[in-house]
Amino acid sequence: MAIQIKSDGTWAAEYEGPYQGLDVQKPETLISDKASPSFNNFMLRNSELRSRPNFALPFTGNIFNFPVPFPVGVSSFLDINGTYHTVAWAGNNMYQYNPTLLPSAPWSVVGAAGPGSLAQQPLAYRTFANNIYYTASALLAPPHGSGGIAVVTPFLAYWDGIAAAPIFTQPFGDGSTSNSIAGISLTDSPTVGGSLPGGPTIVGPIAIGAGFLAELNNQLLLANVSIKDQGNGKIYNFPTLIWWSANGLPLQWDPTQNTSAGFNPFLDVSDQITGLAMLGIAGYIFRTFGITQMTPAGSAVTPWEFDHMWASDHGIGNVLPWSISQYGPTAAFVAQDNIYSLSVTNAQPIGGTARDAIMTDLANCSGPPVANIIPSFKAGYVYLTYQILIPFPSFTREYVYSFEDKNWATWDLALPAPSIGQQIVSVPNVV
Amino acid sequence: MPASNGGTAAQLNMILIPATVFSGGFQGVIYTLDPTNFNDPNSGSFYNWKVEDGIAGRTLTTGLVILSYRDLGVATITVTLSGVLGISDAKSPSTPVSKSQQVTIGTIGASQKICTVLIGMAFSAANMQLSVQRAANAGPVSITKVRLEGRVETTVLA
Repeated sequence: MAIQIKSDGTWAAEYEGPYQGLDVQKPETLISDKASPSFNNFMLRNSELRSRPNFALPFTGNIFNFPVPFPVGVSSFLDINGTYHTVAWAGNNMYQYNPTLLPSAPWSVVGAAGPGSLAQQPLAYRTFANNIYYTASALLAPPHGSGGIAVVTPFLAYWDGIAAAPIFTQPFGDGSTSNSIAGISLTDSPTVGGSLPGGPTIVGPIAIGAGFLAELNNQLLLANVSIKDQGNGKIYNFPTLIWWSANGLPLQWDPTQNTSAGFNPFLDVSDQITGLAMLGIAGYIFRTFGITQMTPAGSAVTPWEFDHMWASDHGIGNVLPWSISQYGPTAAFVAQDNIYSLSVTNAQPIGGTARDAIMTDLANCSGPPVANIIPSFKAGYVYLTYQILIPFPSFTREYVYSFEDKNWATWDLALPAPSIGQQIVSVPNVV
Repeated sequence: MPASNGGTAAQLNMILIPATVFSGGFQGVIYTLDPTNFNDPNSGSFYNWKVEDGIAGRTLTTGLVILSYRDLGVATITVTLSGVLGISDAKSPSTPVSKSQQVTIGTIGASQKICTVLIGMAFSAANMQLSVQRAANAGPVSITKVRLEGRVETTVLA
């Protein structure tokens, strides 16, 4: 209720929910009585002003301790036996949640995750046919204000939850082996590699990796691709290239062996691919300043139709490589001018009255921000939110957008940057 | 069919936030946001409501803050009223003023009931703003409604 002033000179003001959240885009006297010019660590769920949930290490008396200090991803998948696996990656290894180790640290090593160190860059992962696939690229240009560019040997790997260790190598009929399940044989490498942008002279075999991974039309998709020519050790980066596996064959990436595998470099755009989202029958390839739609064409030889929704020097795109996330038919991402949600039918700005605060903090961050759509904090505690975590030297700021209430809250987590790198190099996830 | 290599019968169903910390050495850890505990021992909270100017240029006087909350357990909060005194010009700038009062709310039993506390706070200022602060580890807080009551100058200035 807005302030009420009676004729006898008395006044009263009442404040109650549902709350409109942070409003930094009007003078404090002009905002709604349901909004706040500044607040921190209060949650606006269900029309209450509640101190936010405790930021804690789960399982009392227990530390999820990885010997390598940079966990780069966490996810879960269901294997073909109906068993769930919660997995994480750090250092050179894939780990699995193992409750039999409680009360000690409940993570056991599954095996080497890939051909080398995973460094300090969020991993991209995707479950397909009860296997979890994951990839890392050699280079992904970080956003403004960040440091620590990761250089990882590019690869794609998978684990089925049954084998003793993840699989990241691919043997070929000619006796060669690529250090990625997305690979090209020694024999085919000069032909395939020679048709990549710039026509590089490739020895082979080729190991392919990427910054982003998705699936559409029973084909795995790699975007912002890096390849390693294992013949001479050279790594080539193709930041606007998308490479897809053969239909239904996630281990086949060679277009000379199966014409439904292939790649497409977007030479006509000025930026880099920064994420993927699959909505309905179409895929959306996010670039820094644009979005490209890809739709299955129903042809094995030309399986996709690509349409740049725009390819201008500046435009709505995903400027932060790890800000894009998807929950069912809705994706969310951070563009240059606002935060957007994207559905099959439209893109809608959601930064609202908190936009300027979010953009200011993103511009001043001390490392790459990460984000995800979080449907629930725990079983039975639903709070469908888009959460952006922004690292600063002495803490981590989290902006929380409620899709239901359409408001933003600011939470500061007591998570400072360690002196050896940034505090968060992984996208948070509900597992 | 070969048996699974480890795993669980059900999902963890919780948010996990991998991070790097320094705690006697550099460690990779995984945090969560625990919705069964609203008392973060390491982070305080604050909420500022809109600034009420009532009738522009006039002083608001408050006598009472009525705060309704859900009893999640014992918590200590600081209720603050702030504003400015004086009509500002180059020779006599407005003076920021504030008044705070610490209040303990909730019960050990955490009844989950909505309760109300009356906080007497005599305070006068123009452009008045109500704030609530909760220090780190000061208990779980859930405010459902706040009401300010008082008087305002109505003298015609012209």
